[in-house]
Amino acid sequence: MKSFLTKWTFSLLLLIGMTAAAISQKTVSGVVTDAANGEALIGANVLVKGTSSGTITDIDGSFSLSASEGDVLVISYAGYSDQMVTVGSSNTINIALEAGKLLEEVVVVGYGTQKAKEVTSAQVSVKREQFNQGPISDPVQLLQGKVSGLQVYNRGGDPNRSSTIRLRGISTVGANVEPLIVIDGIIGASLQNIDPNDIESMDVLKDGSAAAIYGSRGSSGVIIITTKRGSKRSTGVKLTYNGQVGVSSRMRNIEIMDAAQFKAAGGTNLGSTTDWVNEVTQSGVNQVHGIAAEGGGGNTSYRVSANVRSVDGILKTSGFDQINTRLNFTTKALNDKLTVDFSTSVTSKTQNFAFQEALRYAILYNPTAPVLGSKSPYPFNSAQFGGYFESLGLFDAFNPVSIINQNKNTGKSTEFNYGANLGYKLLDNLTISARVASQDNKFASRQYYPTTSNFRGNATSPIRKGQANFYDQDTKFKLYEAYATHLSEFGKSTLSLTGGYSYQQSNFNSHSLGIGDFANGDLDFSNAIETSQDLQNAGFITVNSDASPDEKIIAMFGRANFTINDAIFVNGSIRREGSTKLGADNQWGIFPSLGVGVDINKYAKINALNLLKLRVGYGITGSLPGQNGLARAIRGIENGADGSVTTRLLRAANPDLKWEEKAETNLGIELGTGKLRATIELYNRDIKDFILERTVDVAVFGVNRRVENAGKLNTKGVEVALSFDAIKTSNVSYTTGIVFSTYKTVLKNYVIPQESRANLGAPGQNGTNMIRVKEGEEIGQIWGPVFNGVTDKGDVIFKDVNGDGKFVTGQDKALEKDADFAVLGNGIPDFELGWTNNLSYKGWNVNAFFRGAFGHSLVNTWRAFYEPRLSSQTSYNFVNTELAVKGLTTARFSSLYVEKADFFKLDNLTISRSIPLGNIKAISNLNVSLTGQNLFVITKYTGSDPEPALVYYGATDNGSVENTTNGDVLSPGIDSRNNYFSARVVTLGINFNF
Amino acid sequence: MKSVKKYFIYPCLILMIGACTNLDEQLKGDVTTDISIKGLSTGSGGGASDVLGAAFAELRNTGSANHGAYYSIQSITSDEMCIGAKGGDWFDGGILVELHRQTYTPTHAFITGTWNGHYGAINTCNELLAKGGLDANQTAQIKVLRAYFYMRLMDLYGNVKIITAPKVDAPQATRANVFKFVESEMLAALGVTEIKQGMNLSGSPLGTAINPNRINTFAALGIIAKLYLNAEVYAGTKMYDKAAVAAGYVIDSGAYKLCGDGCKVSNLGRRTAVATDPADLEGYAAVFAPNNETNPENIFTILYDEAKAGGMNFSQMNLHYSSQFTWNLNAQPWNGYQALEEFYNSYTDADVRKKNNFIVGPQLDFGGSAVLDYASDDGDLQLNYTPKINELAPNSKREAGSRPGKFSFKQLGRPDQDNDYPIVRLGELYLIRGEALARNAGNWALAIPDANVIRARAKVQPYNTLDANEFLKERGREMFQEGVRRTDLIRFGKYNDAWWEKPISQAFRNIFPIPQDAINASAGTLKQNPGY
Repeated sequence: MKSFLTKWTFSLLLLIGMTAAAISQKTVSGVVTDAANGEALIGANVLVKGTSSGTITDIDGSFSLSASEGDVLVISYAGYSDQMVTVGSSNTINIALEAGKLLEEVVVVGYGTQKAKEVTSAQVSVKREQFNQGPISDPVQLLQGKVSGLQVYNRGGDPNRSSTIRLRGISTVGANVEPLIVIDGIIGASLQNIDPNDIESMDVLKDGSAAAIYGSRGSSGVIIITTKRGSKRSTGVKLTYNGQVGVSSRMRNIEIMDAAQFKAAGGTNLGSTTDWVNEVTQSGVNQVHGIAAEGGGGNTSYRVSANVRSVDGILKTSGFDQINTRLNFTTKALNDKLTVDFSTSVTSKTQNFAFQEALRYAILYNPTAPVLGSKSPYPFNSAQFGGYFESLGLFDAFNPVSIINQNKNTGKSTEFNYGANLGYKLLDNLTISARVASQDNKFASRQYYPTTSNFRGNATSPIRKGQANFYDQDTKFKLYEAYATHLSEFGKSTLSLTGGYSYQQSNFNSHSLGIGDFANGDLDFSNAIETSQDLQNAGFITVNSDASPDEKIIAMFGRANFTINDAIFVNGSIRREGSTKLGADNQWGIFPSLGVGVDINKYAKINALNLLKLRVGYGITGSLPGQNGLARAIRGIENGADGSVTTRLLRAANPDLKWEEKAETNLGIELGTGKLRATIELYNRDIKDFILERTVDVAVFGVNRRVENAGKLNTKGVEVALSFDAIKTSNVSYTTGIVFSTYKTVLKNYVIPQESRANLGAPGQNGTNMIRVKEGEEIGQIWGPVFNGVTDKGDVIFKDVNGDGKFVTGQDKALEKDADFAVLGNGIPDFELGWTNNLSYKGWNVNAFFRGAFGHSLVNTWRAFYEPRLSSQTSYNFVNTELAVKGLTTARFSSLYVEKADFFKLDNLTISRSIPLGNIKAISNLNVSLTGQNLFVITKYTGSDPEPALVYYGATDNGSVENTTNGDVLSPGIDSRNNYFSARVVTLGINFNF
Repeated sequence: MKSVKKYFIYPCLILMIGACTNLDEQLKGDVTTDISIKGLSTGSGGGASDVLGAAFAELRNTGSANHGAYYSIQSITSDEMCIGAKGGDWFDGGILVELHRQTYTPTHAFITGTWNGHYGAINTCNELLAKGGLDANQTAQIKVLRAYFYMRLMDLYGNVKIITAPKVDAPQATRANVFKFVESEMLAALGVTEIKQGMNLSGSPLGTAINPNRINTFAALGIIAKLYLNAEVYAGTKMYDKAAVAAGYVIDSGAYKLCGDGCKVSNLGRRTAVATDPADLEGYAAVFAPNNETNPENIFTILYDEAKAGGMNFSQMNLHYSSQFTWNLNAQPWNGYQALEEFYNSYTDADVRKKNNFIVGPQLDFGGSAVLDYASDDGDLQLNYTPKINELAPNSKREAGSRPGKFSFKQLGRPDQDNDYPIVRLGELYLIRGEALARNAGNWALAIPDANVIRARAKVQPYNTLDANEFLKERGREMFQEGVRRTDLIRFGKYNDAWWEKPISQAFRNIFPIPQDAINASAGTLKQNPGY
């Protein structure tokens, strides 16, 4: 802590010193806005005519520079007509620009902004207007399908589970597969704490050359989020209201048997007729209300917003309530040389996770079983199970209605963030900045299973019933950064230099308690755990606590942007960074990048084109492992029954553990005519030394696990983005756009030639790995024997794949030379497509967004377990798709359960209308919209959701808890039985200012 | 450009020196070095803190009495028991069927897990020895324990590396050399150069104090007796005379007693409503009972405790889901392991071991009512274990097969049982001596006296004549569920025979494959066993 203070104080002193050193000259400052709507223009040029002295406006449209009375300022901004203003006695000059020439875009990059045309990396900027519509709670879903190469999947759409995000596929096999999030300059910010309503734009840095400035955390790409800022206004405060009410419903069913079909198929008849899926699902009501106030005057502007979200899942009782408030405040002081940006946000969220398992058991539960025990066909003690029926004696079967009605599974999180950014304009062309930011997240979850719950409440046990679990965690993140930017011009060339220092520290601690054996009764004993009989019996109470070390990242970085003749752009950066997580001798890494871009049309002057740019970027980034202590030996404590305490080795040390590095080359072509804009990206990335816990010689190391730099991956990909203004008249406009992406990831080197992963699980299919990982081959291969028919006895006939006359189909022979196994599909799509259509007619606007993924397969685990008519397991329901094979009575994993999951869907359809208000003055800009999400999907996949599954969390059974913290990213393509059902949402939205 | 340097880069450089670049990782939630145990409370177990705890805990960690490691590969590869694929349940990719049919491969998870577990155990021993501070007795105990783990590795995998110090690699040794190593370590701990009649063991630091959860001279003799009994298999050298001497020394010492009539403990599994449940467990049954910790027959056992020393899961592994209500078990069992019908039928009905070792027939719950399987596959709701198993796979009936119940279950039992698990017990030493004498002389009649000691306790007729086949059967009846059957079948040349749902196998199957994971990780220092 002391070192932070030292450093921070030092930065301040530095700043003050610089202030004193500054030359006293008249400083002119002001704001450049759009004359039409009063919004700030970011990146406008302000030049003193006849000199090289000038500046560009910042994120609030503000500028300040030195000038003398009588000087003429030339203000220019792409897409607007230039304006000239003579400096008078006032120190403040505000300028409103009229729209004129084509808009020149400015994008946010690491530690600054840049004109879009100067960018030499694969970067996509998505503005608010282009975001997906509807009641979206997870900010990255605003981008789903909008950015080529960005995969955002929330399988099924559990409102309490965040999306899986991949930029250009898998970038590492360890942790950190998700892009780095930067919110208003704060590295490693949390998506949990930002409401989609507060986002102005999102910039996605796809390749290594742009991300290298972020060093170790940039390997999986970077998403930079800029929040809405207040705009200075001549009068009053601008208030905006935004409200949405939506209804979600189940989109697709998993085909199962109804009671009649089940009985006909020989199922055990328990005398009732129950549609279990209906029993546990609902139409969810979603509401979002957001209100924002913005204003300001003089040197100050602010925006305050509050957003309330209430979302129900389609699983009964699941959902969350969230309130988020955010304040963004900007002001200037010290003769306008000092800019202070301050933002703070608070989010409070209460979640009802309910139990996804209820969906799983609704599929497999006997459809002739009654909901209530009183309807049981045989003597049954209903009271023992809270009045619910249970099919006792059957493995992995729990009454789904009882699961959700009797038990509680809730969470509560609060997050408090702040960030302050001080910028000081030391000279007209030299700005220094210092930033301090903090995030503080607290999360607590509670589960309670009463003594009458068969599911985890152990109601069948004669002795120990009921369970209460408590978990609390606290995550803190602190960021201190200081950097300077210097701008110089040489004739028609400019050089911008940035250099700085970054210090990041994370801390985590948690504790948990599990206790049970409660009395029977109505009391929720999670509020009275002192009554637990576990207190009298050794070994039942589970406790855990954990604290991370001070996880530190320390970096020094520099960047140069050189623009020659406004047509050739050279960007280079370097970052030297160290992390506590690596081996003592390998903590520091260097991450350089270089990019070159040429505005070819400036020279070629092809009339048909107004843009033709070619760029090449190369950059090295790192990937930090998720856990701490990976380089160290970890021991477990062995408490002997005799009172002894000793330890044993659990994981061996590896002091040589070093940075995982990604080297990426990106070639981009940008092309535009009046109506058509196209961007094509080609890339090649090599990930070497990826960090993985692997098997070592147990004889030597004493334990067979150790974390090593385990291999090398290569990904090659192509991305295309097209947009076409098909119609553009004063009344009607129609724009359509396509983003297309494809990539292939090959495992170049691995510590062993091949291995199989991803166990299918119980009942009966443990030791059944579905994925093969092999050196020299693509990742994501679904691997198994090939189905070739059924014997008279109902057994599976496999295919003799290699034709040697022998059938080698046992799972433990899966990788042998003579195994009759084959690649049954690939979990990663061949290509993905997003198709946007926007039609405007007078006040009407229709936005239709279609999305598809093609070429991927999914293991339909529902079918693999529950479709064969197991003669000895007729008490489960059967999955009953058109793919079911007649007469098959054994469950063995094979190609039969691997399905092509290509799909094309109408992801989002929004129809909106600006309502003319006539004489009503109380409100303005009234807009009403109707949005449908997931309206239809075309697919042959028989499961609930054909979206690619990029990560596998392993098998769970018999009420065990799914571990979602360490997913296996090398095992894509598995539609797990724990997946939520996908939902369709229809939303009515309203928006106005007042 | 200059100003940048002046105002920014230089001060930054100054800032970066010292504390700003300190990246020491101070782990808080993990134990990274061996912690000091000085001054710690010794808990309710009483006694001084015992530095050997972690090493002896490795007996449990290697899977001696749970599913998926040592116990499983020793038992379900034999003619004792199997795990039938019960429809959708327990198929598990065919790896259980493969064990039973002896078609296992180098990637078999259980074979890999057993290997890793044993080398982990050896590492714990090595670390303890390397750390120093042990007295002579403790050192000798750890060396015998390590030798025992090596004996298991030799028995399972044949040719293994002999690692005797942490992180120091060694070449793969032949099975015969592993045998020599184990033998020399054992002899050193016993303080003699040779096992022979009239040897003087008083110099052994192991001592003779009785604590079945630790190793004394008698425990070490029991282990070396097992080693010598199998010397012909392991090293190609007959050493039956030595096996007989070692076993005889313990028997004759009188330090331990065969648990027969009058040797009893209260029956913790008793259902008061069921008249046939005895109040006490007596004789053979008492040796394996949940409260067997002071049984006079046990010489060296693995400590198991429902709360403090978990890892014995027989009630879960063997019983049908609904049998939970017979013993009021805390958790629903898994319905896995089934005894083979032929093996079950090798007992006469009079044999007390038959009743103790198997759970069979219609089942009653704690209150004396029928245990119901509401998902029954034969229409009759009452749970009824039939000795006959219809098939191994794919549709072994859920109620088929008598269930191993030798380590009997207590009422209100937890998934982890309390029964201590014998590695050396007097009953087996009689069988070792008898067999060793017979093999040494080539005359099975010499095994009759010792075999009859065991048979008398089992309340079955004594032998007048005996041959190898019958001796093996008797040994099987006595030693069922003690994880020795595979080794016994190999010694008797029967392991490759055909039996129920198992065809004849080739001789190379007598040694398991070295796990592929281990070979891959060994950088060429491990060679696969022949045949795989």
